[in-house]
Amino acid sequence: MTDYLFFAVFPYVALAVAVGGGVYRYSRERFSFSSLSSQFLDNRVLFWGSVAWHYGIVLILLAHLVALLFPGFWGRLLGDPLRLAAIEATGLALGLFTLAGLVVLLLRRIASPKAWAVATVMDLLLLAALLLQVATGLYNALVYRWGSLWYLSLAVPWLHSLACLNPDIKYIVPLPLMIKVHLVNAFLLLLLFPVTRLVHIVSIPISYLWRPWQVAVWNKRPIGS
Amino acid sequence: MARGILRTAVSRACLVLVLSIAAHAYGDPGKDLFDKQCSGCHTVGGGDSGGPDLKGVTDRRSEEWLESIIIHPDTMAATDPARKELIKKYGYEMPTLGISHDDAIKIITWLKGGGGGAAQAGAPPADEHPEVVVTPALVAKGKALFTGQKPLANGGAPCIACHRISTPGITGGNLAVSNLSASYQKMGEKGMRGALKALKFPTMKKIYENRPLTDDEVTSLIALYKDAALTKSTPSASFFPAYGAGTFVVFLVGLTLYKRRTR
Repeated sequence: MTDYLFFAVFPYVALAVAVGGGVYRYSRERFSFSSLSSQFLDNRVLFWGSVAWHYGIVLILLAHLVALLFPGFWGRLLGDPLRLAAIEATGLALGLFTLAGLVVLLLRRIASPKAWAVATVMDLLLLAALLLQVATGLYNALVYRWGSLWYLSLAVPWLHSLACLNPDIKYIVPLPLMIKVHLVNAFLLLLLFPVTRLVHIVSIPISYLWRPWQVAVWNKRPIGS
Repeated sequence: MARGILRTAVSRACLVLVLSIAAHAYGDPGKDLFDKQCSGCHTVGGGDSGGPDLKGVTDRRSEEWLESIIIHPDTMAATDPARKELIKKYGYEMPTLGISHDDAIKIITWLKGGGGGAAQAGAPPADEHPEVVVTPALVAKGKALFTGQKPLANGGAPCIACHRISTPGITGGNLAVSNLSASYQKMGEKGMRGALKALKFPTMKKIYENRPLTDDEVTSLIALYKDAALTKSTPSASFFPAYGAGTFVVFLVGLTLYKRRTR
């Protein structure tokens, strides 16, 4: 029953809240769709956290997404022990990079008085949920080796069944607790999407790719550099 | 003439009816359930395989005990000495197959009757699966199937995703507890063949439900496990955490260089 609630009901609730809440927030407070950057308040440490976190998490999410959307391709890609080990090692490195970046962001948020002054409870909750997600992901990659392969045979069919509105939790029920925590927490993050600064995911500045160059000129040397 | 044709037709219809009733009467739901759910790992009179030979099991164990282990082996008391002994002997717990109470009773009733009185039930006839002769070609094919280099015909996951094996050049996964060369040593060829044909273990059940291994694939994998068990190699060490940590350091160096460039 608990498994059914977590893996057959909760994902839909999270998705409904994410879409409904996201649309509602956009219609009411369009300009709140932002990361509410605190770069101006404290930029010294932000670089180390933000760059490591964003490059790491984007590539890791991309790998999850490619396996989900193109399982045949992903299966063929991993169908060689050397490629499998190389992809897993790269994934582990990206996981560590992501975790390091997140820890830096969390410490900065707590240690910097300026960043702390603009922090909300939801910011801290989001950081905690992200930390749990990355930590369990790393744990699963290390302890339950070749996650890239069993994800394809266990999590992907479950996600496909959810997408087809015919949830089949039999793939997930026998899995170890830490993997289940990782899966449930992923949907918890989806639930947090409309009520946190996570909404900035959908405000990707794609136009930056083709807009003209902008030259930024400092009038004076920035303090602390 | 017409009367003769009618008489022949009626007598033939009666014969078909009698044969159908007889066939139905001989069909035993307990045997059908045993063949479907249990025969992958158990025989009745055919010797131990993936699990113990169940011939005479109703004399050795109480009906309550049999019901428990058939319906919910996972929740049987961990202190049950007989269960602990079985896990020690076969190297893994019997999976929960989702068998209902009524079906368990039917299986037990059939087993009480001596397993239909057959000398051997559940296990395939001995001549159907002659002992696998390990050849380099068969082992190579088994390796390709194990690692996913050669996809399984029905689309199941390659063994390497979750299992280890003590053979050079393959670092298996460890979502599953069992090392398959060690499992082969415990289960023997017949047991491993039964387990590979059934694939009823909790995590595997759903993956292979509609994607069974072909006989050819089972034979190749058995050749690989048998070869690994005979050569008694140690499992390949996994260097992937070290490679991962090394790549992480490279990322940090890259980040530092990037920072210097954008200062």
